[in-house]
Amino acid sequence: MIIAMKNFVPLNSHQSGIKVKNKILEELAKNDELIILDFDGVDIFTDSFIQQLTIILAQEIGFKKLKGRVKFRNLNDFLLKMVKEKLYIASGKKLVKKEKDIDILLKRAEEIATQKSDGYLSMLKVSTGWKVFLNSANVDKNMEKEKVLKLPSFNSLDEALYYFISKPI
Amino acid sequence: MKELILSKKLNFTTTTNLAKAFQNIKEPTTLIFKKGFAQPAGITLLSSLINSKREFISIEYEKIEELNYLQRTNFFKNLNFEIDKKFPQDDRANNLLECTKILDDDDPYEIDIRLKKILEAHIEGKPNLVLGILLTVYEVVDNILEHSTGEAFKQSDRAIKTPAFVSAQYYNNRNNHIEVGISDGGKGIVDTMAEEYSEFSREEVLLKAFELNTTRHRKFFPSRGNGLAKLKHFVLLSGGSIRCRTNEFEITFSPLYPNGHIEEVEPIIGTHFEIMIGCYSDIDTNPVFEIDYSDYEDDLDDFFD
Repeated sequence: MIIAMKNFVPLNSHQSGIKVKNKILEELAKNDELIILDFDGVDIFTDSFIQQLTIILAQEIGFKKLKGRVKFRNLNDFLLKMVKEKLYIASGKKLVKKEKDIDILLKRAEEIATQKSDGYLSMLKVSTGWKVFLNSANVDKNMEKEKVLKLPSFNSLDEALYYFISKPI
Repeated sequence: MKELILSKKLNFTTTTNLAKAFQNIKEPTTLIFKKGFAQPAGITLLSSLINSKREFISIEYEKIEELNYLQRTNFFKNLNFEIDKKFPQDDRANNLLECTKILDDDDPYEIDIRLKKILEAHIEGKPNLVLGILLTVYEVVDNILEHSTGEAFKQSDRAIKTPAFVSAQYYNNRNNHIEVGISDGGKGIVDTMAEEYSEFSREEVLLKAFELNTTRHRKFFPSRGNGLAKLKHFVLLSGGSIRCRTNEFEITFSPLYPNGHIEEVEPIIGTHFEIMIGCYSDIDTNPVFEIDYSDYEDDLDDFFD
């Protein structure tokens, strides 16, 4: 049994999720057929929508039954991650937060530096905190030192990178 | 007849400063437009303020040409002002999501179609950014329909009596960003959640609204309420910012304040967002979906073809 999710758009609320969930429950009760949720033609849905088809459906029928009877098809990469996150929670496993923001921020700062300053990027830890800026600075030279000191400082490198990405200086 | 002069560019800051004046309106008042230029968050907030006192308000203007921009955003049409008939609407701009009223579950669909067209026209090769922008708008609108009246959770389609307003514009300038304005005339985030989170101060309740698993219905749905947390994370990764004015507070999330900065301000009716999303490069969504399924992925693979 294939359920075409594009027939239910916009998939933007618990309420739209409940409509699909009720359809799944109806089909589950009919026979032992596999139920395929086909997301062809769907770009986006909300966190609330997908919770109904994963966490809340698992609470109602059990994670084992959900896993055995329901499949997700044609999810774009963005939505696939959302669904995996919810299925992970539905499984009862404890969430482990990844501490990877810094990698992403560094990658974006490098991209900006490549475009704006031939790839030169400085990250400096001074007494007042972290500073991130384009180009390199010779802090032994008074003029350059003053310029660098005027830049805002942050308690952590990721805060400094967030700031740099929004206002590359 | 009282007068209220709008002489500054209407952005989030200038318009929030008008909130008290609007709340004090209790008799017929003329709004005199001396500047017609506005930004999305200013337009939606002003729409919400005017709507709350619509029966008292009439409008005047110095030069009708200056109102052309507001006219193009459907500002006057949404609020049923006669000016709409005085000059026809120009062709739709391809970088502007006109101010759109939200009253029920069907309304976000129109926003979705329009916003997608704008994003497709301007943001190429950044699929996660495009979907993240759509998701941001979806999540806030869902939040409004779900929470603005403070009513109990409904299984069926939702509707609100006081409209919310959504508008957005893409700016292809040096900063390359999209601004989204969203305003509702509801109870406000803190007033809506304070009872459920009575163990927290009102400031803490507001901060919690932008954290994972925060919901008015936590006894029944402990995993609900992730929408605002997700959009905050996404917006910050884009190098953008969120300002939200609700009840007696303004909360800001930005590169300067990734963990939120709260100021106590003049109380306001409803909840009002100014969301700036950086469009400089695509977003890696891994940190948004906070999960480490490295030891579990095989098991989840059974769910997918």
